[in-house]
Amino acid sequence: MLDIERVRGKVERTNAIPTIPLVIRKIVKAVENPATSPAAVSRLVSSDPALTAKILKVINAAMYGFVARISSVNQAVVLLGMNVVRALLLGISMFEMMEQTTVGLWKHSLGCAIVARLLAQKKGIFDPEEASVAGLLHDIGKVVLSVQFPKEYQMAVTTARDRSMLLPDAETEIFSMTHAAAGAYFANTWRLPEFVVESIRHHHQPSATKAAPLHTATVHMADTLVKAYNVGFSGDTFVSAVHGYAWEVFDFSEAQMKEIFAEIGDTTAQVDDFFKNPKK
Amino acid sequence: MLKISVESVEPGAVLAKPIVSDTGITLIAEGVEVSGPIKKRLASMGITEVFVTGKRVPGIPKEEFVANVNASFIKTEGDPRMDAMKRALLAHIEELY
Ligand SMILES: [Fe+2]
Ligand SMILES: [Fe+2]
Repeated sequence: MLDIERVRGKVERTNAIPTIPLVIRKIVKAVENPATSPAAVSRLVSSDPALTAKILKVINAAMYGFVARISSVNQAVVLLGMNVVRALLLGISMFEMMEQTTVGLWKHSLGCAIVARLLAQKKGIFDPEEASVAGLLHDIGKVVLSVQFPKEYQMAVTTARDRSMLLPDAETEIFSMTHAAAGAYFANTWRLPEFVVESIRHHHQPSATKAAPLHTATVHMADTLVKAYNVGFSGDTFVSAVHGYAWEVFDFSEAQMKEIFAEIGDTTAQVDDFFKNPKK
Repeated sequence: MLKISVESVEPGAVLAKPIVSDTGITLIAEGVEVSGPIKKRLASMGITEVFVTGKRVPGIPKEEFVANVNASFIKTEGDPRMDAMKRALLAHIEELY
């Protein structure tokens, strides 16, 4: 078992990862500073056209159900706010870094973002864009752990599968913490918005948060639905029971759940499409 | 009816819903084939996805899909609401094929 402080230290020092492209480092550094203007951020992002295209593509997919609504970084900043955009930039660059090894997790996360947005819209409880961001980043701890401890993380996934355990339990055995805790340390270090940090930390136990219960319950429910449908692969072979608090928020009937699965079905096809045409 | 990106529309597919402008005017009618020129027109309007008729063919055989679902839900068997979720998903899969 790895020492918890050592894991935490490495999770919080992710900015030292040598494989992060320079432009991403610059952007993350700039957006970390609250005084940076939206125009400065969009100038930085736009200095790398390939990155700009990628970011806009993810934003449109995750936030607007693949309908291209946002056509410039500047517009994204205006519509979504700096806080949301910097969370997205960081998340996208983390996923992009490990593109090859974690397509399954990327798909799972994108699926979760889209379904979280759908759930938030259905209930009309809060800003659907916030739900998407929280959904997109909820498993960022898995990315961080596998960047910093590639061998050990792979071992957690295979242990969970072979010993028929829930992934968080296998993670705890190896890292002394789950990906939820690791993700929250990471998000906190980068000073992501509170609702993002909270829904990362508690996405397995939505009743544990006081600060962002609805966001967290939404991510929790979306995560479960997407896992059930096998959109991508989260690293976890098993679905865990939805928490009582999330059922209170989303008291879906069986017929309503069937409708939601039909909508998730459409989403899956779009997510697959998104990864099939990387140049699009 | 399925909702897909304009780029992935197969030849011969027709619109299941019309393309309507913000002011409510029908720009392209329901039933029109999404041909090359229509795709260009959609692109010029900034439309990236459309509803077309037909059923989506899932990427995996039905038996495999059902087996995956059964395997995923092993840990929640006996939980009434999770069992309902599983039944809802299996009923949806039944309609896909
Ligand atoms: Fe998770
Ligand atoms: Fe997840």
